[in-house]
Amino acid sequence: MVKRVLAIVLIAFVAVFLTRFVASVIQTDSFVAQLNGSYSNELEKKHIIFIAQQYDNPFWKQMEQGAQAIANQYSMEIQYIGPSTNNVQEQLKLLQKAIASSPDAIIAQGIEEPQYIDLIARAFAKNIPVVTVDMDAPQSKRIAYIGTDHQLAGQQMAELVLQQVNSRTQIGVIIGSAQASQMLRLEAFQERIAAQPLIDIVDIRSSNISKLEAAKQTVEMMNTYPNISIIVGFSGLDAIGIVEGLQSIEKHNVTVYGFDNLSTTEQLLSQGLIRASIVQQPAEIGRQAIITLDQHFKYGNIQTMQYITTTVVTH
Amino acid sequence: MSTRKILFIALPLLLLLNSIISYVLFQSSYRINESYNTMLTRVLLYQQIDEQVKQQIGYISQYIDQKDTSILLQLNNNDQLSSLQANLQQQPIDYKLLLEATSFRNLLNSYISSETTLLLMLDQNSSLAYVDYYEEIKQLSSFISEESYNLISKELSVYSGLYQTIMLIIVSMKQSGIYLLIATTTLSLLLAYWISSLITKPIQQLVTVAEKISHGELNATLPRYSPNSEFYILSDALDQMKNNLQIIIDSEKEALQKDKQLRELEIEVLQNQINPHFLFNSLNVLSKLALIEGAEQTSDLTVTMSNLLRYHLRQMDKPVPLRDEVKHAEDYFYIQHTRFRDRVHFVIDIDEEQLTTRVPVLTLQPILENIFMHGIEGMESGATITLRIYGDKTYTWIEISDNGTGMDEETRLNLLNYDSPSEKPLSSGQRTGSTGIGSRNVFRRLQLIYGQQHAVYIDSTIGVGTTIKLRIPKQQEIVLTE
Repeated sequence: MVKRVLAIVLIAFVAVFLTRFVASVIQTDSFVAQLNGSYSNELEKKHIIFIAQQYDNPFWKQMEQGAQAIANQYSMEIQYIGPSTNNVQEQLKLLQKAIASSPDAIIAQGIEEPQYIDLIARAFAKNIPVVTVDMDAPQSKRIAYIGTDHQLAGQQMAELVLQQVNSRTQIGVIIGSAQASQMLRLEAFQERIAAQPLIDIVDIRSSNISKLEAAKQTVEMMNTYPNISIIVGFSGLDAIGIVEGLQSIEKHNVTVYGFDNLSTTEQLLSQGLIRASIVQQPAEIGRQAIITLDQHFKYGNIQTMQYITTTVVTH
Repeated sequence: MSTRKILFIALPLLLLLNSIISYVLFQSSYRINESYNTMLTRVLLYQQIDEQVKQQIGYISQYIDQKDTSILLQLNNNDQLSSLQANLQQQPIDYKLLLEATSFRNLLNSYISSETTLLLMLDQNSSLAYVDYYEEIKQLSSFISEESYNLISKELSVYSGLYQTIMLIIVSMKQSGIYLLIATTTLSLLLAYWISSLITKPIQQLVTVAEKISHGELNATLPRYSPNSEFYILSDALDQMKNNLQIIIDSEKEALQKDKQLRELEIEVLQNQINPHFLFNSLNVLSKLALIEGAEQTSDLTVTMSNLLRYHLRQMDKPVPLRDEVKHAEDYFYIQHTRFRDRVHFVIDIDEEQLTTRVPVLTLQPILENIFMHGIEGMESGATITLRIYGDKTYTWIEISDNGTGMDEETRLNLLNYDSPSEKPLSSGQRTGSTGIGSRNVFRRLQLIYGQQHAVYIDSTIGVGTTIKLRIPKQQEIVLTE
């Protein structure tokens, strides 16, 4: 009896460990198979290199995600690269590298630099189509621009400010960089504001699309012009930086306007710390870039200028 | 299941299981190692390509500096980079890194084509047009360098993620494998113990029984086994041997009994032969004297007595025809009639054909003697003793009956229980009077001589009489001796 029980226990023991053993063997096997099976040496889909203005920038990340979401559907693979800080030279180098890597297409910011335009021409010669996003380089041989109509956006911003102002007011402006997109917005803004004699744009500073830099510039601006009652941030992170800067010097009577709807922007809007934001649609830009490329590959005939609309979000 | 089957199925099965476990463990490590190797090969390849590119750039700048054509020749003949390129083209690549790898391959292609153009230009010694290309390949080389490090780190991170997962599974696999090995080994040991006890236990039981048998305990019972087991045959054989031994011992005892009986008879005969001539002569003298004195009846009686004695003293080991026995019975009856006078009546009813049947000497007389001694002694008159002989082709029947006192059941059974000599010694216990060899003695002799073919029946009722029936086979070679 004892022997029988012992035998049954042992057999049960063997059965349990055999099952466990077989399970882990199968698991290992599938893993190793996955390791080997996922290998191939030919890329079957179209190879698209996407060069961001800055690798970690949420605006560009959203654009990439929008593109990635439908890339598979159009049989494309996106290689997302970008400089770690906002640096035109680095962007140039990455574009150069991208062209040397002979992809099927490149998505990049349009920069009005002769070298940059040369590189786009070289890509064109190598039969690599370049689509510019966020900012255009109209003189280059890019096949299309997909993004916000910055002039229109600048005007929209001016309209927002004008709606609020009815007395003599000093305005400070923080732009992301001296890049064309920012300049287009700023010029349109300035043009519209100039029509209203009560309002003066007293200071324009650059944040180099960094939140911390925007905060720093805000503090300096307020120190120089303590009477400023409105500050407008022209790139995505500026408004957040401006709010932080104002909080650090405890200035509560300054109205902030901004662009885009990134991470904490929404929260600041709901708290009333940002009055209004003109929101671009980066995901839609990314999506549209892929669709445009697909049309280019398929029909060769595409619309060169594709503006993606913006919306105004207010407190 | 027989022991052999268990041995041939269970043990190899367990052995096979253990071997498979060991093999699978080994195979898994091998496959993982292999996947590691392919990854490492790629990493090394990226590294080699980077170094080769740097080296070639170095040669080119050396040539531009020194214009030493041997360097150019060496560069032109150097196909190391293209072989590395071909090798790279064949490498399987994880799909997660396919984009980067494709970029890297294209970068390398760009570099090689630019370098070829540059070398061609340098060879032709044409102007300074090469400078642009030289700058370009330097740029490309830095890209290659960057990308190779980028790829290496990505390869390692992709692999390390998978590797850690696999290592976890391997650890659990090893653990359960070891437990499994321990369990199967224990099971094997248990099985070995069980199988060995399957063999040794029956052997021990059989040994015990064999020892008992060898000590004479023939009634020892043998253990039972399933008819499929080998021990069933062994136990069965031992059982048969034991039974055969019992039969041999029994027959040996019987033969010994026969021997003893014969020797007793011989002694009896020898005793009876003491001075027979003196007896016969004396009886003859008595007979003649009685005749002279005119006592004829006494004379006849004496002659008959002499005949009786002569018959008693003849060779005991030779069978006689039934006729002689009947004659002897008549002589005996005559003597007894002299004693009992008309109180007893003797009736003989004989089938003459049966008288040739040969019977042992002194078959009838002891029975008659018994009747006279016990059956009819107390009767005042009208006692009748009947002797009937009849039979068929195979058997002769002798029937002796009287109308005397009869016997009780115990006496009857005691008489019939003649095959157990040990109970009452024949020669002494049943001896009655001067001549008698008891009825039991007669029955016993018939049994010893004819075995199963003889038969003895006794019918008796107290106050009515007794009938004794003997069945004797005919045409039987009777051998008393041996």
